[in-house]
Amino acid sequence: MANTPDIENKPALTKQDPTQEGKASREPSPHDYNFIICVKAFDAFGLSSGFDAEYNVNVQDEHGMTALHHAAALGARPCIRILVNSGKCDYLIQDNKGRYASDLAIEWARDYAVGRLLTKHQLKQAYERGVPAWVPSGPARS
Amino acid sequence: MIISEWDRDLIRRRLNNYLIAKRRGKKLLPLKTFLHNLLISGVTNEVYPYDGDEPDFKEEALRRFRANTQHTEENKVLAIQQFLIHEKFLNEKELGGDIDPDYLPGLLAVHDYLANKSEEAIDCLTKLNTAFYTKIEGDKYDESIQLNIFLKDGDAFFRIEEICEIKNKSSASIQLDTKDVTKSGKTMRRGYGFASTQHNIIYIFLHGHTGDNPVSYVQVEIWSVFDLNERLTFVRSGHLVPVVMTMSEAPTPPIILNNVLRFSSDPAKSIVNKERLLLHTIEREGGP
Repeated sequence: MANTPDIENKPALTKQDPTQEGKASREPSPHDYNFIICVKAFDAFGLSSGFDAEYNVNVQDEHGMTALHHAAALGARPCIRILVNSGKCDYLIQDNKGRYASDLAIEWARDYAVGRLLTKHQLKQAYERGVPAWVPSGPARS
Repeated sequence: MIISEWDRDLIRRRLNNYLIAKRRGKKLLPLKTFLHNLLISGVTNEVYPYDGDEPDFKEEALRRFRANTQHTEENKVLAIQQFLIHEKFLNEKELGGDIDPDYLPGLLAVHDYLANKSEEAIDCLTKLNTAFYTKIEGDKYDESIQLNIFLKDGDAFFRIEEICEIKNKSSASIQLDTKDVTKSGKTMRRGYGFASTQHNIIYIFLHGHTGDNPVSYVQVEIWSVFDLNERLTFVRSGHLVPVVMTMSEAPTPPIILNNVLRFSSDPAKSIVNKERLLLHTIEREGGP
């Protein structure tokens, strides 16, 4: 499999996963990273089978990126469809550079339709949680 | 002032961030409101006309700019840029095709060491076409690669982006929309290139969205007066789609250059690198 991350040497998560309330102390299992591995390999079939088990789809890799971040950046529409339809994705997670999945869809995949879709979910989730939908970061603030 | 596509992309992203940050409940800030805020801000040349007429800058132009469906006039993009800078959603330092600070030290070091900075080399770069294309056909995957070149006059290097579109033939088994299946994924990498040595060989260094999957290109053909810049051949190192290669035509002993790709400046004449196999016979007098 191409570009597969080294799942044995994953660093501990630095950000708490808001969708895993009550399970926040749970250490990510190597299986959680399978979502990211599948997305990087454009393996939509493998990705969909991962939801059968109780794995955490919002686990972040060493770049702070989730499976949704990678799918958005790679323009992997079949994977995005599966992730969004699972209803388990956290659209408000920012990677280590402060980018949302919706940012990556526009910046790296130039997929404006997917960017709009992810933005819509981002807004909805922020509204439901009563938190800001966009937190500034990076050079624009300086 | 010409705003590059690179900067237009950045402005588009920051416009999206502005609309999200100023949301109305579950919905984005309407474009109409954004435009109103821009026109009354006083920080751009775009304002409501004094005679009460409709402003030149219409909501539809903004919508098309955001969706990137039509080329938006420079003055309108500049107005959006100035407004976003004023609202602190954009920083001037990010504009102008300046280099990503994460990669600047590396680029400068490599450029200083390897690049040919002569006038001839710079002249050679200006003759480059703005895009090159190639296709690779495999058993399970088809891959097309596009190289987009952005060059500023007088620069001894150019910015470049590589767009690899991968069609996974096996994903057809998944019940998804046809549109989605035919477009399995697109990997974009961005970076820099320059000419090196007295032959002005092009070197290109690219990185992806995580920065940890670099790809580099080195030109393998010396510039030809016959090819001009219609065709370029590169050795590409880095991530490649696994392709099963056949050895039926391989002479013995072969040199298998499975990462040598030939690019064409004309997408219609895009060269298909079947099985990514390029073979050369080594004629050895007297044998091994």
